[in-house]
Amino acid sequence: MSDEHARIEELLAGYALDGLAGEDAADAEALLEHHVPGCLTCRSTLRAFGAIRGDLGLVADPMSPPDTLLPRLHRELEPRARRRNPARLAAVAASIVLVVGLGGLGLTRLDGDGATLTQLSAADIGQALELAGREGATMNDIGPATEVSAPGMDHFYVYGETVPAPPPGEVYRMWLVRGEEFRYVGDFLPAPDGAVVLRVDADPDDWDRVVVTTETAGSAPTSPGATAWDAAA
Amino acid sequence: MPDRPSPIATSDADVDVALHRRLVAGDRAAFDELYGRYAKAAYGLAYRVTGGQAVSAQDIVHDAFLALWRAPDAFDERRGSFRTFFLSLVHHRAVDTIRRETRLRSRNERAANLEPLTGEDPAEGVTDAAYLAVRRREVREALGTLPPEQRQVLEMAYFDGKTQVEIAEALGIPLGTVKTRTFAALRKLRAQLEETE
Repeated sequence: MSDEHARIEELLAGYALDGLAGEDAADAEALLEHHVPGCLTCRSTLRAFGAIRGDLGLVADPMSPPDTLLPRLHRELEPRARRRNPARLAAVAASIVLVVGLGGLGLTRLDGDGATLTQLSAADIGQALELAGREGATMNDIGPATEVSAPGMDHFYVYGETVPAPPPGEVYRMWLVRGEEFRYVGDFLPAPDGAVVLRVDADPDDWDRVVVTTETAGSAPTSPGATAWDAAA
Repeated sequence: MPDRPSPIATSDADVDVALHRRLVAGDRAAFDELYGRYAKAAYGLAYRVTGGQAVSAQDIVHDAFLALWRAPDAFDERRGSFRTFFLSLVHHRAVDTIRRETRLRSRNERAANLEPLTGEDPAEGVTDAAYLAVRRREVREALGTLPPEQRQVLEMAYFDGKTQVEIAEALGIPLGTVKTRTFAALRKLRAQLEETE
């Protein structure tokens, strides 16, 4: 390591602990702007020191916060997304139509064992809207998306506006779960803007839960992996 | 069709990432789960850094969780674990708090000492989640291997929120020595903790 790099890493150590002041703080800021972004060594060092900073917090003994803290937080949590209003589905539908027109949702259609997951066309979205407006229609949160179903229907819809992309090389995989049985439904990816609109050809009354996992793209759907979302069917 | 589902077993880091993704989408239940996973560690840290000021510690943890809700994109899973991200956030706010208070009134100095960091504060016998307990033991063990002079500057920076200049003045040693010891301490911890992560 060069003397200059040794000096830089010393500064990064102080920076990682919020321990710099005066000229050192200014030097560190300049390094972070001009040197670190292009230096693999320094980026790695800064990331590692940042992780140590977090883990050092575990040295303190854990303590139960006051019971009033979580209720206090609940009072201050502003809703960030409304997903239960069918009118919102119409707004999503409009954006989906546009996405489809631009080349599709990036959804992989896979036929499962008795249940299918289907990319919605513009016409299908009209059906989803119709379903959402039916008497007795229910809308349940499933992670960042919403499941829309109606009594007596042999299919249901899943839609979301801000679904984050899975990690690179992975896809979302949907499963239906009943007791100790599960059934693979299909794989999907959100559109670039985070929109997802899916039709699932299965009667939700036949199943206990809808589970979405993240899986390696192209892998065999043998059993559920890491759960990303989970909701009652 | 398989007869039984495999256990949907995931690492604790995976669980955190999945919860965070739900949080990004505005899922309050995910917020509550993350609170359940990290509130005790966060409060213990804030309590320690503030020197046992319960009200300040509560405000720090409150502000950290609220910041997480309002700006969840601040965490990027490609850059590290949620655990270290969130505890860093809490620590940053705790240090800010005590520095602000120090400016407002003189604060009783907590003498830098070489006593073990564990068991110093009343923790009501609180136990934390197993996955945090394991990491806590690893971090404490790694810290215990540092030479006393390195651990001292690390403690003063981390738990007392002192700048390197303040540490040099308090110990009567050159600023360069503080920098060297701090860097040596972090480098050694890095080598040990990256092995066990």
